[in-house]
Amino acid sequence: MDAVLRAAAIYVALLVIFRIGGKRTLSQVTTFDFVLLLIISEATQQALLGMDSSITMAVLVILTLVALDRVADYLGWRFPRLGLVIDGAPVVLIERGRLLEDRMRQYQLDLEQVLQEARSSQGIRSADEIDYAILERSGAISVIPKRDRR
Amino acid sequence: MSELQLGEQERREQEPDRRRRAYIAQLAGWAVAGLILVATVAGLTGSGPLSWASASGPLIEIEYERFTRRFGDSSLRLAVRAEPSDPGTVRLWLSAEYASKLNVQQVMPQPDSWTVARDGVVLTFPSADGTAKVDIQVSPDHIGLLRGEIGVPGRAPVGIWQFVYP
Repeated sequence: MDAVLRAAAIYVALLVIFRIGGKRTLSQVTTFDFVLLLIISEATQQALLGMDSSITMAVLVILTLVALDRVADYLGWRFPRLGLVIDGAPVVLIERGRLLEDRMRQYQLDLEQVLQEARSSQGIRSADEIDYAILERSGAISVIPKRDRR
Repeated sequence: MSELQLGEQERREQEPDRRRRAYIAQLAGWAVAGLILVATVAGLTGSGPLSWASASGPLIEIEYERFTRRFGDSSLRLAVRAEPSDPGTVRLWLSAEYASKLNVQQVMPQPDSWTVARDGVVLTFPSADGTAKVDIQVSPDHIGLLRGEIGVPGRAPVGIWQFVYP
């Protein structure tokens, strides 16, 4: 029972912390973000397994985490408002080529970050080639180019 | 070129008042996280100024951490005096339940003996001047309120309470 309680507590704690942290936390923009993600996973390991390094404990913890994740997914699908609380919603940053300043300010984003994403995913050179830019639930930025760009 | 297609709920979430609500919720979350961090630095989860407490009783003074964590490192610092009738030996008594939950890692200085008494354990330390400063490293195996009694055998013990976070 210990395994299930620990895993459940850690799952909920991580969910809450990352929701508070915001969409762009750990979106792995830089190498440092990636390293931070690894360190966080290390920090949870000891709490999950405690001093028990048996196969049984490991399997129980993994099973609990996967089951909780499925339940959260199901509840988010079945009750969309709950899904909103758990996962958040996508936020439009650039609409029809027009930069939405207040949205960018809320998420502490600047145009440079959107352009970086535009360069790496779409090969876009400048901001006037962007039709829509959306901050997805995952923290990644999706960029949709204008159809008639050369 | 076609309009961006968003789901029903996603479209509603773009409205300014929804955005503001989300922003305020975010700030509230940050405030709570900040409070937790400040409380931790102050010692409310252990090892900080708000955590150390002291208690004293006949022939004994205790310094201990009010807040600690399960399987975390903590210590009890005791200043014990010997009975006037036997100044060469300092004796320390811990209640049985407390000793078992404390999960003692190390006692500095090493006691001469651990003796199981009626309702606790007695540690004896040889002493040159009738006093002993004892440092007990513990790693509590308990969650929640932990009540303990520490004292000198034959005298009234001191009751302390600690809170162990899971």
